[in-house]
Amino acid sequence: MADRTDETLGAQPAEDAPGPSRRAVLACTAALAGACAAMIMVPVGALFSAPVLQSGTGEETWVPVGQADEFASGRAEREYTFKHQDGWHEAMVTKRVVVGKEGEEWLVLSTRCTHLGCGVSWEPEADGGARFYCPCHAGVFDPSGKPVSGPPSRPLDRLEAKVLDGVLMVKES
Amino acid sequence: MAAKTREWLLDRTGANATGNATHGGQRPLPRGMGWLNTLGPVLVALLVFEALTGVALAMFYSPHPDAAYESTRYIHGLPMGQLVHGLHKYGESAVIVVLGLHLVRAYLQAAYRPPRELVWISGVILLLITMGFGFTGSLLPWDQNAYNATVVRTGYASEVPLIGYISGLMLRGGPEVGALTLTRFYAIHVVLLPALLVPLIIGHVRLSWVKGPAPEAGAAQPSAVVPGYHTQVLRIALAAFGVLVLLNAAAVIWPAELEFKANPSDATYKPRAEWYMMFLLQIVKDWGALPILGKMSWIPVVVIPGIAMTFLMLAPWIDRSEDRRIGKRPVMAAFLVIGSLVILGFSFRGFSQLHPNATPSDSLYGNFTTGGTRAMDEVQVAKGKTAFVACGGCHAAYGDFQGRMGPSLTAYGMKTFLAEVEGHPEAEKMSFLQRYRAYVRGDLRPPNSKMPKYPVEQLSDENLDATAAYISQEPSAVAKAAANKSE
Repeated sequence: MADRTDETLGAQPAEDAPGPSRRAVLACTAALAGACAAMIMVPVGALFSAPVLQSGTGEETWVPVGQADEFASGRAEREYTFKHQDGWHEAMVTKRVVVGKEGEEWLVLSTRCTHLGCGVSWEPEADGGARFYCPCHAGVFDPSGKPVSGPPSRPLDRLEAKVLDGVLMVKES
Repeated sequence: MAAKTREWLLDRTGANATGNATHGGQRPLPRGMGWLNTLGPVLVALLVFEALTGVALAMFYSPHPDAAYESTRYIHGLPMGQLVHGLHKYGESAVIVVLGLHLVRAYLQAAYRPPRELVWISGVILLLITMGFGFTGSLLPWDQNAYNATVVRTGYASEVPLIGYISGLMLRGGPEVGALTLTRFYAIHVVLLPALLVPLIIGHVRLSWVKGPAPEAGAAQPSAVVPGYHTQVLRIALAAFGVLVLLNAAAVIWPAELEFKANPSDATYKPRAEWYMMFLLQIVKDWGALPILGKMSWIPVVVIPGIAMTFLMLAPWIDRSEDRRIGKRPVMAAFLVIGSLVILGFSFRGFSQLHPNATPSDSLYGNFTTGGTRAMDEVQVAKGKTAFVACGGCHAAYGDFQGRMGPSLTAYGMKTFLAEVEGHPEAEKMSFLQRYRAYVRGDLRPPNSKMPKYPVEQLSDENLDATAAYISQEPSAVAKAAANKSE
């Protein structure tokens, strides 16, 4: 379709052609072509952009991590598994956190590096004292999750936590 | 001989053309063919449309038996997702319609005559590719119709003598329709066929451009030269616009439906053919079993279309007369008339014999889930399971139903079961659920019904509805619940 218009419409005007002017005909054609493009691209674009258009419908769930009294002192590494709706896929997701207390506040730290999302390891026995270490770019966080050296500029993510019937729960979506 | 073939190929492919036929912005057009000659460009627009909607759908779709249906249902919940599914599905139908008209137009004009043989043949191959898209695409949603229709269609291939075993395996990717069939059809639908289609379309369009439009029937040369060609371009834009408006209207008025998830153990489901294949199915029904020769459904499904396609391919050499008028081409006219009568006649018969299957939006399941949009009430289902024990003497709900007195009362079995009450003057005024209650209590029964009548006090509305909810669950949900329990 396109090659016909390109090759023919640029040719010399046909002054003897009867009916509406060439300009009017071309304007109509362009309008119709635009309408066609809209009819194709609006639904296709909407579906393509579904990740943006869909407002965050992630339901929040509270997932048990362990008995609260296990974390009375120091830091402890724990894994927990929960059901996560990933589009149409119902996935079982396992996450690793480091749990401790800062005064009366619960401190549940994600082990995702805040630089590019690598998994950081909890090294309680490291030479310079306990730390989080990211193997990707040698990022280091202190035991409360604050960045110490390397590329990360943001502290480790803190998960919302609460105790229910003696069990420590964290909020996941 | 070789030199002659070479010369023929050079000429017919336009490889030796000395400049193309733009004629300084003036294109010859056969008299009275302006609108008919928009069909080709509209087809190109439709195929671009199919490609774009297809890409959008493929972003969310997953070709796995555990995921295909779920991901399609997920698409239906996304912004304009169901609309895009509908547009893609109806777009295929539109391609078939427009391609059919385009082919008949060329046929009536004898456009396959020299020097346009390759334009014609590439067009016939494009028709086959288009049908391949429909054949493979219809399996992808993995619902009852998708699955069961593919079982039947690939079954025909297995029935062909000698090569049946191999052709069945090649088509299905395994002995049964399953995971291997799904990935195979998906690969063919999104990789192989587009890879064949695109170069063929480019060749077809390029060649028809080089060779110019075929003259109208009865003339040797196109009679009119359209200055500037711009009015024809306007016609093309108008036609494409009209087709797209119709497609959008269809996809909004009749949204793409998803039936229950494919259930290989359900033998009650009767799949439907695509509308453009309905005539073949009906020929099988009417002529599939021949006296003496026995069951030969592969003849109407494989041999007859094979002969028809070969005839079309060879048309340039079958019809060698000079006259372009259809009345002066008796063989071609006879083929067209017989072909049209067979397709129209058997299609009509097929459509008049359609039987209903239950769908999420038109069944008890739909009643309990507001058309499939929410989950069933688990408490009610559990209650229904207990109450169903009374029915279980004669009926099975899920699983083994061999040797029971009454029919299996699965969710979609219900529709056939309730068909008995249809047409009853009282039933007309009732909802689906009311009809079911009345039937079980003994009203609305045909006189020859074997089911006993039960006293009303045994059958409270509450118990009846709970039983209905229990037997109306999606079989996949039942299987899932059973699996969870055994874990």
